[in-house]
Amino acid sequence: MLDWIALKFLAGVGILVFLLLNLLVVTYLEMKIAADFQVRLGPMRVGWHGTLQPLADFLKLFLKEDVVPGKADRILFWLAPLIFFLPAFLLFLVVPLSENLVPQDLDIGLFYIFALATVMPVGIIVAGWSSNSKYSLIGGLRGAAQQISYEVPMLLSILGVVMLSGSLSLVDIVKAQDGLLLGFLPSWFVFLQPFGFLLYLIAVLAETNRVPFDIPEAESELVAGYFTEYSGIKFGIFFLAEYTMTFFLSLFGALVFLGGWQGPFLPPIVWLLIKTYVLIYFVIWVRWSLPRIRIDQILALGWKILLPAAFINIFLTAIFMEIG
Amino acid sequence: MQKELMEAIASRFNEADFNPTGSLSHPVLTVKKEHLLEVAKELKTNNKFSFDHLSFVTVVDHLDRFELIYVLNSYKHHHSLFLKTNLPRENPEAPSVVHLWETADFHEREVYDLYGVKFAGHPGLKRILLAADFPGHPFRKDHPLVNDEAYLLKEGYPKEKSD
Amino acid sequence: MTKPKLRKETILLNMGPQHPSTHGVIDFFLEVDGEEVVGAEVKMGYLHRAVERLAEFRTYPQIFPLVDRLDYLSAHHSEFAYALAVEKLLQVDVPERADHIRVILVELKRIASHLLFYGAFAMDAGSVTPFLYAWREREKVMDLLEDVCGIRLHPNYFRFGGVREDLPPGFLEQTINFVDKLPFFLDEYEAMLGENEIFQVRTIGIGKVSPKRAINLGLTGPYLRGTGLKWDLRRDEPYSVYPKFDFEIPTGKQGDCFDSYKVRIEEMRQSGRIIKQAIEKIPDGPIRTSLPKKVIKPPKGEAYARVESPRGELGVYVVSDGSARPYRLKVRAPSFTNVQAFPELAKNHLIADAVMIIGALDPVIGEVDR
Repeated sequence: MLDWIALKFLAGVGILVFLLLNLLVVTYLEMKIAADFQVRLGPMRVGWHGTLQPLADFLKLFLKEDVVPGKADRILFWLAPLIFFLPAFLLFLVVPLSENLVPQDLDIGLFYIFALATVMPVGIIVAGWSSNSKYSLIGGLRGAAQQISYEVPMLLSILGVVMLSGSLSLVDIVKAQDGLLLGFLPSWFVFLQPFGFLLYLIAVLAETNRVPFDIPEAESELVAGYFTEYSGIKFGIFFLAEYTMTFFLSLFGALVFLGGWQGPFLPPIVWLLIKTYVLIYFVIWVRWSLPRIRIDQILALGWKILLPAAFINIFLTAIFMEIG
Repeated sequence: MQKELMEAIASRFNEADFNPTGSLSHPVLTVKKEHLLEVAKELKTNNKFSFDHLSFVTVVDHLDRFELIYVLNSYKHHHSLFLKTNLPRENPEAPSVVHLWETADFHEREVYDLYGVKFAGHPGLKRILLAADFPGHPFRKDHPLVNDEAYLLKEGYPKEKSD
Repeated sequence: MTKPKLRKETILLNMGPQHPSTHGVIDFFLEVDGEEVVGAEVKMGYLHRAVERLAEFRTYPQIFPLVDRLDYLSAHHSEFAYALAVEKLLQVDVPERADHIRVILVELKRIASHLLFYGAFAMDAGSVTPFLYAWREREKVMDLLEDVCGIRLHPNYFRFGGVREDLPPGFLEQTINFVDKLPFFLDEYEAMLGENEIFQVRTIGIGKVSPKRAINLGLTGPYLRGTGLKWDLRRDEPYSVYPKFDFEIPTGKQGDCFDSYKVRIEEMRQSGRIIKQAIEKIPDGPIRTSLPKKVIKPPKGEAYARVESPRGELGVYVVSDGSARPYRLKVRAPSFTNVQAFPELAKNHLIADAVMIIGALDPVIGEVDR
C-alpha cells in the first residue's frame, strides 16, 4: 500500500518537473519567436542567448512584494489563483507521453479533461470579483464568458475523433492513428478530420486567452483584466497556469490529431514533443501577427459560427463512417 | 473673396466697428457685448457668410479690459473673420455660443479657467486645465507670479475661491 | 409574490490618466453599462505647462523651444505656424530655398507622426508587431532630421525669415532614397494591418460622424477628411511654397476609425510626393533673410497663421505690443478640439471601441493641455 502511494507521489512530482521544464522552454520560445517576428533579438544576456531568462523572470516574481488591495476579499483573493492553476496541473494525469508512460490511463480520459477544464472559469470569476476593482471585474466577466463559450466547440470538435477511434481514453486514441492512409500519409486524425482540427485550433486560442482572443487581459484597455491587482507569487501562478494550458492544449492536440508519439527512428517521446512544439509555434505565431477581436465578436464567433460548424463536422463524420 | 466679405459685412453690420486691417491676417469685426449673439448667429446662418467653423475662442488681457476673440472660418467660402468684443475686467461675462458652434464648449471652459470669464448659457462651465480648487485665474496679467513677494507672503496670496 | 425590480447601475470607469494606451496623461472618464459606453467625459490638464503664459516672459526667438514641446510628435509644424505668424507681423519674406527646406522637414515629420499613429493604432487593436515595423521607418526619418537639425525631437530649427542652418551634404540624396522606398513599406504595412479582417471588423463603422457634425464639433485633420470633406490647409489656404507642388487630398467615406486610418496612410504617400518635388525644385540661395535689428521687436499688431499639422489645423495667434516679448501668444491646438468630439463618438459603443476611437483621433497630450 505504502509503495503504491509512494509511486503515485513520485509520478506527481515527475509530472510537475516535466511541466515546469517545458514551461521554461515555452516561455523562452515565446520571447524569442516574438523577437524574430519583430526584427529584434529578444533576451540575450541571461544565460547563453537568454536561455535562463524565464528562470530569472519566475525568480523575480517570487521575490516580489505581495500586494493585496485593501478592500479585497482576502480568502477568495488567495484562493483564485489556486482554483485557476490546480485543474490545469491535474489535467496531466491522463496524458500519455508514450505508450507506457502515463500516470493513470483512465477509460474516460477525455471526459476527465473537459470536466476539469470547466473549473477554470470559476477561478477567473473569483479573481475578478475578489480584487474589488472595476477593471478586474469587467475582465473577469469577459474572461469567464469567453472560456465557457469556447469549451463547447472545443469538445464538439474532438467528438469527431472520438467517433473515429471509438474510445475516450487518450492511449487508445493515439493507437487508433496507427497505419497509413492512401498508402503514404500517416493515418493521423488531422487528415481525417481537418475541419475538426481547425475548430480545435481556434478554440485553443480562445481557451488560453491568447490573441486574437485576449480581450480579458487586453493591455491597451483594462491594464491586465482579471489579474490586474495580483502581484508576486499569485501573479506568477496565474501566469504559470496560462502557459500550462497553452502547453497542455498543444500536447493534447498533438496526441489527438497529429498521431501522438508515432514516428520512425526517434524515440516516441521526442516525436511527441516535436509535434507539441509545432503547435506551440503556431499559437505564438498567431499571437504576434493578429489584432484582437472584440468581446461581443468573440462570443458571436463562438456561438454562432463555431458551434454550428462543430455540429456539421460531427454529422459529416457520421456519414463518412457509414459510407467508408 | 476677402473683399466681398468685407463689403458684405460693412453693408450688413453698420453700427458695429468694422476694421478691415485690424489684424495682419484677417478682417476684424468688433461688436458690443449685447449684439454678440445675434451677430454670431447672423455670421453662421447667413449664406453670404456661412461661418461654420469656429477655430477657437480666446481672451487678450489688455490691462483696462478683456478682449474676447472668436476666430471664425468658412469651409464654403474660404474666408475667415475675427469677431471681437470688449468686456470689463471686473466680473467679465459673455453669452455662450455653444448652441451655434458646439466646439466652443471646451474653448469657453478654457477661457473661464484661465481668465475667469463667465459664459452665460454654457452647459457645464467648469475648469478644464487646472485643478478644480485652483485659486485665481492665472493668465490674467495681475495674477501674482512665483517671484512676487505677494505670492510668497501668506497674507498677500489670493484667497478668492473659485469653482 | 412580486418579482423584485432589478437594480441596474452603471460603472464609472477611469481610463487614465495612467494607461497602457500610449496616448499620454489624459483621463477618458467613461460611464459604462456592462460593456457599453453610455456617457463619457474628457478630463485633461495633467500636462498643462502654461506655455502661452510662459511665452509672455520670453523673447520671440526664445519661444521656439517652448512651441516645440507642445505637439512633440510634429514639432516642426508648431514651429512653422509660429514662424509664419511672427513673419506676418514683421512683414518679412522667406527666401525660396528656406521655404523648400521648411516644407521638406515638415513633410518628413508628417510621415514620422503618421507612422507613430500607425504603430500605436495597431497596438490599441492588440497587434504589437506593426508597431516595431513602423518604428523601423521612423528611425530612418529621425536620422534624416537629426542630420539637419542636430536633434531628433525638438528641433529649434526654424527662425524668423528662414531656417537656422543649411542642409548638410548628402541629405537630399538620402531623403530621395528614403522617399523612393517608402511606398513599398507602406504596402507592407497596409497588408499587415489594413487588409486584416479582424482589424477591419474592429474599425469599420466605429466612431462614425457626418461632415456637418464634424465641422460643428470642430474636428479638423485626417478625421475630418475621413468624413468626406476634402479640406486641407495646404491646398485651400496655401502657405509657403505649397502652391508649387502637385499632390492629392485623400478623403474617406463614413468618417469612422478605418477611414481615419486609411486617410493617414494615403497622406504618407502624398507627403512622399511633396518631398520629392520639393527636392527636385530646390533652388540655391540664402537660407535666411537677415532681419534689420538683432533684437526682434515686431510692430504693434496681431497676426494669426495656421498650418496643416498631422492632427489638424494648428494655428498660432500672436499679439505684439512693440516690445521684445509677445503680449499674448495663443496656440490653437488641433488635438484639444479633436478630443472634444470623443464623448459623442464613443456613445453607444463598447469599451474596446472607445479605445480604437481614441487611437483614431490621435491626440497628443502635449498640445491638448499646452
